Amino acid sequence: MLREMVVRHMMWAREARINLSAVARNEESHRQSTRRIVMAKTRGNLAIQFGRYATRRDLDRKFEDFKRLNFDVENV
Amino acid sequence: MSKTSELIDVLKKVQAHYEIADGFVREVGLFCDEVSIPAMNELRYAGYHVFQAIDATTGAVADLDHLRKALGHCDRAQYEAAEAGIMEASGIITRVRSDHPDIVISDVLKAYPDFLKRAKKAYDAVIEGRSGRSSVTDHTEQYIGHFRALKEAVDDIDAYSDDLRAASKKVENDNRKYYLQMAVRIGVPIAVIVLTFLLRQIFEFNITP
Repeated sequence: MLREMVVRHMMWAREARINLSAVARNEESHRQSTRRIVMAKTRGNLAIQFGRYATRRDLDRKFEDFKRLNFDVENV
Repeated sequence: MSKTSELIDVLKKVQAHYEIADGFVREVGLFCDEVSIPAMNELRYAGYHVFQAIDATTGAVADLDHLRKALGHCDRAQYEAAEAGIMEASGIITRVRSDHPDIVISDVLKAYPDFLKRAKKAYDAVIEGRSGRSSVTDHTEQYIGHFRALKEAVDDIDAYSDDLRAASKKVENDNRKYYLQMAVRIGVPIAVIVLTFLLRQIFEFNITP
């Protein structure tokens, strides 16, 4: 009787642990996707705030900045 | 080829190119809203030329020149969107380094050097495209490929941004701890020496009035 109760309890605990880890994984995945959306939005809003790329001339100005970018892969 | 069949042929091309360009401009717009504005303007010009090509009295498409101009604007829209997207994405990728100067970024985000290499390839293509005399359509497909590769890289960077911030914060805390330890290691002996000196002065003063 006691043995049966202990086994049942252990099985229940195992199941609960599996369920908990699944919930945690789902929450993490949801958190990641939300963060990605929020970040993309933030980037857009910042860009709008600074009024970048409104015209072709702005794009040409951006090209001048683009020419100065550093793509060196050392120490990264 | 008769003029009518040529008109229909070019009109079909305009429809197809407009559809593709519109889809791609939206894709770039989703990546970063205002990046796609010059490309949207190109699509607006394409629409203008299509209207100009229509004879209002008969309702038939009559002007081939305007249709060809519309086709050119559709191609130009794709080119502009891809180029602007590449510039924006490259800026984001290279900015990671200046945002986190104290850490080795590849320790957190292993693919970062690969992202920089991708961005450099796109950079070379854009520089070559701007300096060369080749037509817009020669570069567009290549640019679109580069843009999509860089967009994936930016998505990965976004996903790892918390980890990068955490690593930077850790290095910052470690540095603070190190300086505090150094201050204690240097400060304590100095304090002991000063205290000893003072005590000695007091002691000597007490025993030799």
